[in-house]
Amino acid sequence: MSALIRTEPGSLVLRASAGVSGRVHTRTILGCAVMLLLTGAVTVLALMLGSVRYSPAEVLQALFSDAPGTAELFVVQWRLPRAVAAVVFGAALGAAGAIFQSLTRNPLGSPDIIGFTAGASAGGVAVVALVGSGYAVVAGGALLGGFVVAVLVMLLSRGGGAGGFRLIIVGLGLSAMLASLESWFILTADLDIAQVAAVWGVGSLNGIGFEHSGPALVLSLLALAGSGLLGRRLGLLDLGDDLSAGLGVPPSGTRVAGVAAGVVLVALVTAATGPIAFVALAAPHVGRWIARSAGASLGPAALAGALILASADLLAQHAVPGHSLPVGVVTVAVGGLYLITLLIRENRKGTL
Amino acid sequence: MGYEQRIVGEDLSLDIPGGEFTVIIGPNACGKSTLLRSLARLLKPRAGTVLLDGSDIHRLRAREVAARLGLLPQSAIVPAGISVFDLVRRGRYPHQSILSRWSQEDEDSVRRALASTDLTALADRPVDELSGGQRQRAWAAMALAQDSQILLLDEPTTYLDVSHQISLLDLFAELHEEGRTVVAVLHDINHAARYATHLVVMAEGRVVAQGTPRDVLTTELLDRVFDIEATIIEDPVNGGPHVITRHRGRLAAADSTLRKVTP
Repeated sequence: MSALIRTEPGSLVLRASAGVSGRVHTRTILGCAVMLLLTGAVTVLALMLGSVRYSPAEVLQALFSDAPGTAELFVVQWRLPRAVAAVVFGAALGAAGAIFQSLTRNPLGSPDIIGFTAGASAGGVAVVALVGSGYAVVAGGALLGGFVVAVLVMLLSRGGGAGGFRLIIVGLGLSAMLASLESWFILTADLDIAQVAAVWGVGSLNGIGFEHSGPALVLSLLALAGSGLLGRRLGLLDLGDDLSAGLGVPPSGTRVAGVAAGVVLVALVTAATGPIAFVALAAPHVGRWIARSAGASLGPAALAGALILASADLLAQHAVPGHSLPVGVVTVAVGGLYLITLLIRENRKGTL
Repeated sequence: MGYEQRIVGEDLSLDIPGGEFTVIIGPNACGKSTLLRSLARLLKPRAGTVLLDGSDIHRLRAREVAARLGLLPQSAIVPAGISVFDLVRRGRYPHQSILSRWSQEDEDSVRRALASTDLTALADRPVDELSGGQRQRAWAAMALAQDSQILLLDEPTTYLDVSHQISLLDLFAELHEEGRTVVAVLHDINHAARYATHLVVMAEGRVVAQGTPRDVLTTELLDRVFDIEATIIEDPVNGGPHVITRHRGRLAAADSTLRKVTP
């Protein structure tokens, strides 16, 4: 197979035999490469830092060849699962955010805002408070809560048109109600259970190990690959329902597939870590900005999500010496600021 | 080769002749856009069928229809920050696959579409920074890049100033002369009369008249369909019909040179 890569001002064109061809903006490639490198750097840093510090060389040695038993234990057994989870789950959240924003045609239309995260959170906390804190039951409760609320939001916002404004309002209302329900569970539960529930409810990568997160990681990667196929369809839906249909892609099909992909991605992450807020909201914007891409842009969104969650988790582990915070605390704090700036900016542009 | 479509819905039967520039006119809410959307496979008629070259359009695959029939709808949305080139490029979707995303053919079609809409120089500009006329040309370029034999245009000139309206309609007339079948919903009767080779007049969900503008446009029809009193004179430029409405207005001076039109 022969391949030809040609540069044009601002873009790269690929022509290969067997009908393979493509055209990408140079800026998009560079932006994605930068995000990938930064994510790699943050991951290496996460493997280096901790109660015992290792040099980059020692980390690489522990990863790829034989290393002393302690280095192997710290780097590969303890730190690696958490670092990998941050990258993969971050990418999943970023892609899910891009899908939901494209479907709702609204820069705020992320799973955080449309109620899925709140539903998963309330479901998980309810299970911890009422049933127990085993991994499987909590994950089940979170998934059930998320799905129920997502379906409820969809039903209540029916007839609101494709614009998605109603979807967001309904989601905000339900999120507020669910937050109070969650508080009630935590307040009425026994103290030790309440603490477990509260920690789970913010979303955390603390103590994550491959034995629990392994299946979620593999499934997330599969779901990411699957939603990659949706990218071009979402790009057409961005142009409006009629144009999408006119170009041969019925919008209803794209919507169903998009909601399914987005819900599966968020559900997998939430079941494994608890609800991590704001990554899905911020990642698509950050990705588009760095890659200078327009519309759905799933790839840049996923890369930005990985970078954001990996950085946030590094901060959560080391910002307060001696305390490993749940990563959800960091994403909420940083994401809250981001949401305010986004609201102000979008309000000026009038795109809300 | 004939491009014939037949629609039967709401007691409505219509042939869109292949190779003609068909213009659909009619008062607001008479079903023009609905008719166009049915022709484009966006709506499925409750009863009856839309035939594209003899086969039921809803039995064809959506993509196959898209490769043969391009649509410029009213409700197009510009994704924030997208460049003209990338917008026009999306018109190639029906001809692409997962692996083949930018073939030589795609490139040629997009360049041709940009050239014929005078947008080559603006190709890298974000669409949301363009003027209304340029933006509408970008949408037209996207429909052109689709390289379909049939083009359906839903009020393509709405909200444009008169010079942009004319340049866009001239573009569509050129496409028609190159052999494409063009179907446009227009509001301006005189634009319809000037550009259409086949005129369809609709009222209350029915086709009330069709044929050449000369045969179709009569004072009686204008009164019945649009409820306007009008005179029809010969268009001094192309010899077709030209509608002058008799609504109240200011009288011009009798010896004004404005009245003398040179063809």
